[in-house]
Amino acid sequence: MKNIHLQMFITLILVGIFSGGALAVMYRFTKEPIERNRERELKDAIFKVLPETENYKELFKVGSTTIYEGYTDKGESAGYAVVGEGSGFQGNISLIIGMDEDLKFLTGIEILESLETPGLGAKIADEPFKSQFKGLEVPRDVKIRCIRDIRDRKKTDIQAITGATISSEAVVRIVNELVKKVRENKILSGQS
Amino acid sequence: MKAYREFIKGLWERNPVFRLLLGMCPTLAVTNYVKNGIAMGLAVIFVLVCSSIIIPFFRRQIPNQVRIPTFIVLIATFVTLADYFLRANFPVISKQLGPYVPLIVVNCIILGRAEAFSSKNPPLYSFLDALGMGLGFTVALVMISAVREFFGAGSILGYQILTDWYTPWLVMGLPPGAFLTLGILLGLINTFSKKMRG
Repeated sequence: MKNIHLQMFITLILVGIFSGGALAVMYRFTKEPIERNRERELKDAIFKVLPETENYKELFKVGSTTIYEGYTDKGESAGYAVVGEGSGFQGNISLIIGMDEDLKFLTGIEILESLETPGLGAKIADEPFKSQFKGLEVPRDVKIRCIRDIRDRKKTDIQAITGATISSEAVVRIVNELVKKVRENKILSGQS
Repeated sequence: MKAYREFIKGLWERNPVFRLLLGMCPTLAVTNYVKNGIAMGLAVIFVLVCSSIIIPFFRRQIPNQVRIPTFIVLIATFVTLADYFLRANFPVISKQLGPYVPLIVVNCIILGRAEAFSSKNPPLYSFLDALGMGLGFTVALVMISAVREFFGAGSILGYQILTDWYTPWLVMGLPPGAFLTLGILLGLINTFSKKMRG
């Protein structure tokens, strides 16, 4: 009786040691590439939303939102990129927005991660929808709206994707939040 | 001859998806594109083969009472290795597969083969069984995902086959499409194999 307990004990310990060791080795070898992939993804996204950027640096973090400032090759500010997330239709949508250095208009958005429905909600990551945000002016007291009917479209409206209203609205909501956050924090840090 | 049979049975006669109906969760979830089906299949082959090689060597040492915990820890280890490997080398695919790679741990094919075969058979047979089962699983995923990608996106492996005139049946890329495809394929295969037997 005692013997079997000891045997169980030893088996589980040995399996644990083996598995811990194997994972430690794998982790060591994959840590860097995984980190690099994540950085490259972020870098690509920042360069896309702030086209004039040559270099960027993390300014600050507020909760799950991170604000980056991009610089041109002459070292001048090329605008701000804000990464943040919010809930979409099926899961979290993580996206990045770019704004000019005076925080007057959006220079673009990119969807970083989303679990939206393929063929419908996933179209938020496609050009026709994304490019609506490019150059969109956002006055300080106005929120971007997401509309279905193009006929009563104002300048600060985004047209929702057919069949994916919830996903489109989610993106617009997150963009509004990020715009608000970057403005608040820029005032707080006394730069504006 | 027996060894050959252990390998070949997983492909058709005891195909894990079409015959044993095991591992339905990834089968339904990741088969919207052929690329994902192949990646999932390869990850499962890796985990299945690794666990089936290790388990037979210790099958006499592992006390019966802790058999399943031991198997699960071993399987989880291999799954995590595969997950890290994918994340480091194929970030795009890894993202597409999302939580389904870690979920291979609870894929019944793997624990099922460990319990039903690896823990009772010598390493060589166990290895061949795992390889056959893994390939059978991959073939099944590729079949389902080919149908779904063809009708759902008009393409196969990302190559556009049906052009503009074709309006993709979005439903095929969504969960209902997975059930429809699996059901129809199962039905066809059952009818076909009944006819073969005469």
